[in-house]
Amino acid sequence: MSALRIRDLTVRTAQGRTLLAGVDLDVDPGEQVLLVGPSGSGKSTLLRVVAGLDPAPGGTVTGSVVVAGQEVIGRDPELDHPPLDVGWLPQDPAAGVCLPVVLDDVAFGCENRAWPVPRIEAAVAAALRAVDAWEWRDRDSGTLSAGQAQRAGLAAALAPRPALLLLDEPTALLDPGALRGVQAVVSALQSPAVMLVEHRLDEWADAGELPRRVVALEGGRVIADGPATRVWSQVGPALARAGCHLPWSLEATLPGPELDGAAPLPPSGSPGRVSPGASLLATTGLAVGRESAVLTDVEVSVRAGEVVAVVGSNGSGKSTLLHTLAGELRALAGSIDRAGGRPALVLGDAEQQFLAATVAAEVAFDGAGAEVVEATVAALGLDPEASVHRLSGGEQRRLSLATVLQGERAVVLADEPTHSLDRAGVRWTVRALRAVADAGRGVLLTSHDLRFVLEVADRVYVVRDGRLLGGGATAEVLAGELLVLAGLPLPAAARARLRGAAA
Amino acid sequence: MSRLNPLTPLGLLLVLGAAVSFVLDGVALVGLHGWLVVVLACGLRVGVAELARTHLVFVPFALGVLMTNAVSRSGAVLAELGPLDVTDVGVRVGLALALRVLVVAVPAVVVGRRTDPTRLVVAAMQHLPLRPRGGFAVLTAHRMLADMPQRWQLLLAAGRSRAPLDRRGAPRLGVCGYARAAMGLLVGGIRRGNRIADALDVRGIGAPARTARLQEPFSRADALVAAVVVLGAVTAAVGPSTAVGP
Amino acid sequence: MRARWKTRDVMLTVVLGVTFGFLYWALVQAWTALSVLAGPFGDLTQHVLLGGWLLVAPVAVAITRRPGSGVVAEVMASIVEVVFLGSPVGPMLLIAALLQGVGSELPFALTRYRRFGWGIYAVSGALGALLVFGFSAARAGWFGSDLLALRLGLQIASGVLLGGLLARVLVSALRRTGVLESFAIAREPAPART
Repeated sequence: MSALRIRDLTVRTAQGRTLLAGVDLDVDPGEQVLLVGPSGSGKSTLLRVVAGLDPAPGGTVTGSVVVAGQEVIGRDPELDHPPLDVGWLPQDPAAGVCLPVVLDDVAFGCENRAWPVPRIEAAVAAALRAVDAWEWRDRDSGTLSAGQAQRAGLAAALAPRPALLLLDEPTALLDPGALRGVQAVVSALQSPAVMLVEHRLDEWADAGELPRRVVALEGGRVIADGPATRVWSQVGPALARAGCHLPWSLEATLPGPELDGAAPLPPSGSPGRVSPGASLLATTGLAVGRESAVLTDVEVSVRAGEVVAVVGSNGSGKSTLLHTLAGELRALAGSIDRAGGRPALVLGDAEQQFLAATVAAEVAFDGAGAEVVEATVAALGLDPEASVHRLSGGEQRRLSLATVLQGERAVVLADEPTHSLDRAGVRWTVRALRAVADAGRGVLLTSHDLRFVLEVADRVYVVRDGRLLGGGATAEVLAGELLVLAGLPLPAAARARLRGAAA
Repeated sequence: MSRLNPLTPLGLLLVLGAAVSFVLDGVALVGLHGWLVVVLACGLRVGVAELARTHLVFVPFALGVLMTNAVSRSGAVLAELGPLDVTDVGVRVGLALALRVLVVAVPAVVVGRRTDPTRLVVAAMQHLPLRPRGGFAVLTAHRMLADMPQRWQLLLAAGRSRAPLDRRGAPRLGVCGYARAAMGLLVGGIRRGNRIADALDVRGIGAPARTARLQEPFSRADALVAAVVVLGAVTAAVGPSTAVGP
Repeated sequence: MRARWKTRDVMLTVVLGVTFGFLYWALVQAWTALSVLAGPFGDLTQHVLLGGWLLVAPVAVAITRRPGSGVVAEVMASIVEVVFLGSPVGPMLLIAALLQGVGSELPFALTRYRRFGWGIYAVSGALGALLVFGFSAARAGWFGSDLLALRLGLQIASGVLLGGLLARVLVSALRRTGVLESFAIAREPAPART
């Protein structure tokens, strides 16, 4: 019996848009499959259908989806029992682990299968040990780091021994160390089959190995299915043009300008009288933290016309630093010279940033003129009357960035500006931030995406052991030892490229 | 408190709140409050500092109640405040109502802080007509509540990031900005609630039969504590009044 | 067909309760400020703002159309207030919230959760305010006080405005954001934008 058997699966929304069109797919027990495709290609829709959820309220779902012998289509997730034999780890860590205590959350799925208590205890212990989380089983789940939360979520998905594990960008918010933790668990799995949606292919490959089988989706159809090398050679260039994340080595062989296309950029406000190279933001002996200091002796500067990046592991204080520089948190020690005035802040979670209902209203929130609003909306390529909350994650991210960039504050602080963007979105962000710097403003950003940092930043700081180090030219810092010491090894493909450039 | 069923202290609080609703005698309320402070300090080991802080929170409200009542009831006039008469009945009723605020509010906050949400929900699912779907929804909501102050700050930060600056270079958010942040809090919460509901569905929350791994039985300790607290309260409330006489 | 609560309905009701519980806390701050300003009549300001406490019940009912959702949301909000934020009314607030919820939900229940015009929201706010007024009056001994009629008038007006009409404004604003697509409210045609 196969773990998953999909025949002629078609999904249409209530508005008549086709999300999936005639998808056929088989996954054997224990097989691991990587699902790739540009944003909007139907990856998340497919995972939702297989998980037994309604992918399109009011829409239609036809065809057949059989998980370990159970038909999913037409099933009522709230009435038909036992629960589907799937484990699901969604993107939002707060949904992955949602009960107050880690152990209770991991036991939840087993309890719902009405297993006897001793069997539950054994399964929970095994799952927690598998993800190396047994130590903190009694922790309050709200206090976990992003990496710990995803591992606990993985344990919760694995504990009921599902036939099929669905992973929807499980490492999107994680630093490379935490990514290795999740990756190690997944590749060591023997029993459940795995369907993985993942953008960070280089780091995943460096950490261990990617699933050998790749299924490529575009426009709701399967356009290629087979061993990775064959899929990349068949549809690699097409996927790259559609904006999909691909391994670095593969993308490097494709012409850049062709990939960028002619996507228009959002307008950048003018910072007023600022001479190029003038200091806009500088700190002396700064200590930041919410209750106690997480970063001390911070000496960071941003000058007009440059993009500066801060890299570091999860929980190292990067976001706290940005919020302090923005004036949202009090400095615990030292001083901040805001020569460029109060900075604007782009939050790490785009959805937290929306203050209006529609795209047009959101863009106009800061009182921007009609021309600016029009230009920004056009650059985003969005319907001005669309609800901001119904946009895809990538669209929300670009909107939240564009609305801040169109303003006039001289310093822009951006927390993980490429999170949940596809590769086309990342390249768009690179060009947009460079344009802002060219307009005489300064940008300070944090990112886990070192490829993005290499493309966008003039200088890089590295957080290590509560200190901010480096600050030199991007290529030098990324090629140096500092990054490795901070637990952020550059993907092998990037290292090779940097050495090539230096030689 | 860890040895009690979490429903016991909560039930006692409800009984206390209901009983006090019929008491307007200041002396009885003082006695009752004294007893409750003793229970909290000795039974729950609540420190003096925490007790003092909790009292302080409710003092402004209690004073407001006292003032309004003092000037708004008919009775023998004690003093005149402009057009308003302070009456003896007003002062007596106002004092009693102000005391009542402390009697009901202080223990509720102190006990609330010490109640473990998981144990409480497990107990409610076991002994009250709370079904698993509702119980677990409440537990996930408890985590959302813990995150809420931070989400609120983020929304305000987003507003301040784009609001016009005043002459000193500080952002002006205005009432409208706060209203938008409140709306953002609501919409973001609904979205997150939807995602959590999906996660709970996939994990089989609707199962007609499920194993209740955790249990919260009532024990003899619950009966003992309830009896001591209630008897003590009655004695403390009635004792001094009888001693002082009518 | 009996209207069955889906997990999303339960979560939404609970989320509304918790979020409003948190926002009510902000209302309490406003109330404290207002009552200080009003001096000896500070106690009266509670009637001006009372309607705000009624808001969550009609919102929950209008979105989920599930019997009892208004009462549950209102009680959830009061639990948040009493247990986590601290309320001077103490645990009796739960009873008050139960009465408010019943009062606010009653007009919708009587029309079988089918009518959601301005009028019915107004009645909902007024009824919720009236029920809780009776409860508070008995507890605080307002009967016989000089201010009974003034208290009642202020409270009902506040209930209609803040607890009734504002709820309808809020529900249509929420609907426009598109986050309510999977709830019962999405199965009726969108009202004309006003």
